[in-house]
Amino acid sequence: MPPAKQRRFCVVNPDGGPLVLRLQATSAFRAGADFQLRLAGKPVVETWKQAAGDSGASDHDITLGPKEVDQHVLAWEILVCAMVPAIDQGIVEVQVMQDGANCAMTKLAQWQLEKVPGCATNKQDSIKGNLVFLIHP
Amino acid sequence: MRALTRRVNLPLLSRRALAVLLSLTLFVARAQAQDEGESKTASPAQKFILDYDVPESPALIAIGAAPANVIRGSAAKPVVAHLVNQFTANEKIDNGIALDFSPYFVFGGRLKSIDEYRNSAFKRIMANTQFSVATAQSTTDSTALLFGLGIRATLFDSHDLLKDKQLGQEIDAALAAAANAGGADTLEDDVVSKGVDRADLTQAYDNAQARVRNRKGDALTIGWGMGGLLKGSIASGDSVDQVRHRLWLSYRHSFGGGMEVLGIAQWFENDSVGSSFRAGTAVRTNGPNYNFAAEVFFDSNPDEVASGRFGIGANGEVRFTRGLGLVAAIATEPVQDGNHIASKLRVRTSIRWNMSSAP
Repeated sequence: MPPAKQRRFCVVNPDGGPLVLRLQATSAFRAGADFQLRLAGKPVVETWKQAAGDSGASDHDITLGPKEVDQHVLAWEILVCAMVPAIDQGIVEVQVMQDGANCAMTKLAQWQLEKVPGCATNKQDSIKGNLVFLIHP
Repeated sequence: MRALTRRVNLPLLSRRALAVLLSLTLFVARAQAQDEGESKTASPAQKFILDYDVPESPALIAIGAAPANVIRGSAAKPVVAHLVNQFTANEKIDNGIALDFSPYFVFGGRLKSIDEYRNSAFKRIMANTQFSVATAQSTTDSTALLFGLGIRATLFDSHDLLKDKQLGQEIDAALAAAANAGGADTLEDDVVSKGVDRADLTQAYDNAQARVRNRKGDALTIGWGMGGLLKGSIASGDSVDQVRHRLWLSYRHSFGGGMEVLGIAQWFENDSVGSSFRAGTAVRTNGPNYNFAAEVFFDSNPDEVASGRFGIGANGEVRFTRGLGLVAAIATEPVQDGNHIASKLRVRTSIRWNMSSAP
């Protein structure tokens, strides 16, 4: 029996600092992503492109403040490929950070990937997902 | 030179050498035609990253069956198979096979990131260390096999693609540009799709190839090999004979524009006399699908020029399809002939199968 589908919620402190989105990839993977932030059924309020880069992790400051982010949906697509053809297993992760700590997510935004195509083959793995922000004082 | 021409069966060797050289010429011509075509149309990226500059097998070097005398110092590939044959004047054709692999990756070595590869000399050298095994027919004993083991480590290679920051940036930009989060806001669960072809990275690799071919730089590799005779073709303590070792240092300097000079210094144990020292240099030109080299070398073992103290040779490789390359080489070589050493022409051909290439 497949597990019940569960949306991903990220609980933030409305009185805390600005939110930072971290995109991480291990194993020398290249990971490039598109992020969109919006209220359900409303136009996108913020969108950006982001890549994990050579260090395997990069941060983006979300401009929408923690007080305004309640009920907003952050959606993404991440394209991943293996820069070193011999290393095709690794982890890709999305984290939301506030004041240096990860926000509490009801479901980790982390994917253990295997047989990731080499970048030179012009193939990639695609990861689509989202999270909903909730504020909790 | 008189000794050389006297001992060589020129008609037989000439036919074989001519056939090899003609084939090589045709392949080079074909590759050049492809090269011209590719300047107008994009080429598959993997031609470069997986097939470019596949180094000689250290185990074939250990048994003296590597096509080139002046070998290249380029970085290791994950898994490469070699099928070789060689024929010397008045001798039968010898066949052999070798398998090279990078033990670091094959046995689970990992990298956290590209930065780790760039910043850790230890991991970089480990990733560029190649282990190799080879076997070939013995020319002196039809019931015996030659066997070889070898290992080589590339200490540095300025053409290493993983050190090309611009390539990484261009790949990142292409991936991010192709990604589209539209519609993902309504998903109830994550969707992972394998092997999509959303981002075209061909241009990024073509750009990297052009940068590498035009970039000046150096590479240095150190290697060790051990060769021996397996009597009765059975591996046991008593059946191993004539174990000989080799050590070498190979160097490459690239002038840019595909022109390179190669150098090698090699010490090896000999069958008849204690040991020999060999030094050589070669000039090599590289295209996207081919390379061609001319070489000269010195061998300390023969006591006369006519018996092979100095040698010359030429070799070329054409990558005629994804992962497969044809190598052909012709060179003079000092060969034990009865109780004296003679310089003979030797032709070697090899098929290289880079098994890490995508099918």
